Amino acid sequence: MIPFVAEGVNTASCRISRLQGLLTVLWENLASIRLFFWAASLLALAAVVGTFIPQGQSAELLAQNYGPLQASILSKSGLSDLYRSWWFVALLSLLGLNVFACSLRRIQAVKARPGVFLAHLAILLILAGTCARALLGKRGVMEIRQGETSAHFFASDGQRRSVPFDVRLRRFWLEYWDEPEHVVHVSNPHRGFHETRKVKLGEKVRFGELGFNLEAKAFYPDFVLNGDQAGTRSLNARNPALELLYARGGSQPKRFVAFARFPEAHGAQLDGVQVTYEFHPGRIRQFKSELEIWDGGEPAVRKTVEVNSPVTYKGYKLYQYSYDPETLESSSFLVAKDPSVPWVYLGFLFLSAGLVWNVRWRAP
Amino acid sequence: MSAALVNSAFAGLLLALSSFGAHKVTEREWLRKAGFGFCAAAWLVLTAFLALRWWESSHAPLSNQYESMMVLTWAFLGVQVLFARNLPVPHLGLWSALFALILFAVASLLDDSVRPLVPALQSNWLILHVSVTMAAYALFAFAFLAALLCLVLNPARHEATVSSFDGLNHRSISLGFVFLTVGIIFGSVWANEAWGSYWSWDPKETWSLVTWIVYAVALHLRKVRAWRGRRFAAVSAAGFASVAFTYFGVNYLLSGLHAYG
Repeated sequence: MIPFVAEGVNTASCRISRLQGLLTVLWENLASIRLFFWAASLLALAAVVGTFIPQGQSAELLAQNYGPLQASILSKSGLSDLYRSWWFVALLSLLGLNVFACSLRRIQAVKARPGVFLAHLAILLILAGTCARALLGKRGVMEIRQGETSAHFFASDGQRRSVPFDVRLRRFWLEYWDEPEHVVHVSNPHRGFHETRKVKLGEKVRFGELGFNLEAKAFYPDFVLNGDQAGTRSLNARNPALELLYARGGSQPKRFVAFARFPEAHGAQLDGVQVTYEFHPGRIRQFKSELEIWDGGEPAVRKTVEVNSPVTYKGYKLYQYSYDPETLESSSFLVAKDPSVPWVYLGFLFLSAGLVWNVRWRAP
Repeated sequence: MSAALVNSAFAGLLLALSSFGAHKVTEREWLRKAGFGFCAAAWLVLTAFLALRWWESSHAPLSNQYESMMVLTWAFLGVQVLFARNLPVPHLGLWSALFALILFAVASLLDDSVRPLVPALQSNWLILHVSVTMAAYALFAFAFLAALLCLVLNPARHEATVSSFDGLNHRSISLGFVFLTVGIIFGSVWANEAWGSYWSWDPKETWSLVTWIVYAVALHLRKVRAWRGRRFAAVSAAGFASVAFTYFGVNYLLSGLHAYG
């Protein structure tokens, strides 16, 4: 062979064998159990850190809470949105590759233990599913006023997106476990008298020992004075107040308002009697939205959506999310379309089956 | 009636602890059997308490910290009564009775008022998810107990005992890991049904994953690197620290969707 050709061939084969050596080292490390211990530990540590730092806050809010320098560090390092940061995703991917490589390298041993094989396959399925969700999933919030229709929602990145159908909110309402309670405390320190009674709107309550009646005339959830007229700003019980009528013997009844949030400042003093008011809001049992889905101008689905009971149409799911507490006129829904769910659920099934198969509770 | 049942169960555990303590000193077998008898009685009384609470509140007693902790104590006692009494692990009854008493005592500091379910908890998944997770925690508690004794005892002087506790530690973790995995899976499926996402990196979810990772690492260290005795016990203890933070720490120190008291 001509010497320089031989030299060229030798150099090429050197490069190939160096590359092969490098790939072998890479493979050995990727398939090593030691990498699993390190990657899993780092992932756990990173995940823990993320629970102590508020996630997904805007730059302005971060600066407000931590100061501009720390906010900048948190933002640039990805710690303020840790679970979506490039390095966390890389760590997760590395772990996935490690599980794959470890299983492949020990395939004979793994095949001999079907439970282990299933469990590792499941982890890969679940990780692949979460990738599919990140790339293809859709998620956001749709707010609709009662009687109105919408086909749009706002994703977490602020982008406006649409669904291929119309959603109409026919009605929104709250159901309660119990009704709100109005409690009045009546006391006369000079006579050592103190009594607490529940009152209902329109009912008279007699305090015989003190010789007077109290009647609850009106309730204002969010009291406001409009000129000299009492009213309520909203249905949200932010400033609950009870209008009471105090009547003693034949004297002219006196009308006054007692405020739950300001019992000391606005408790009424009437003939030496102190009256204060306590408001117990009813406990909410459920938030319900009667929805209609229209497709191509025709009603397709009608369902009452509540928490834990979403409506599904064309791969989209609408979940009861929130409502306007001021007016109770509008309701918000979480909109989600996630193609990864069947694969992730399959992964869940494989993982459970694999682990159950593998566990043997041996008698000592 | 509920208060009477709780007090009776507590008394049963105290009697169990006394019997086991007396057995440790005198080595009389009947005292050990009496100890397990008192534990079984306490478990039955707790069962009655939980059934009564279920009937009174019209929902499974799993909706807040107090209820889940009573279920945890019940599960822990159940594991002890059904399995531990036949294990040749010395004085296991004494330490597990003490642990159950501590769980009980902590539960008694919590708000025990009966409240209706908030909308988010009105689902059959509540029973599946929380009960399976509590079963996992009960098994990890057993593992932790065994790990603690492994760490405390001198292996040179108590080789057989340490080996017994080491075996119990491993078996409890193996079974607990299955329950924890299924519990997390049930929680994820429920989250998808309620909130449209099977994983949101909520603090409770994240810490339960951290716990899962710690125990997965522990099991691999055991299987692949043959970690035994004190080294394995140390990892088991770390796992239980993670369980404790997942169960308590997240509720009181971190906020999230799982804040149900």
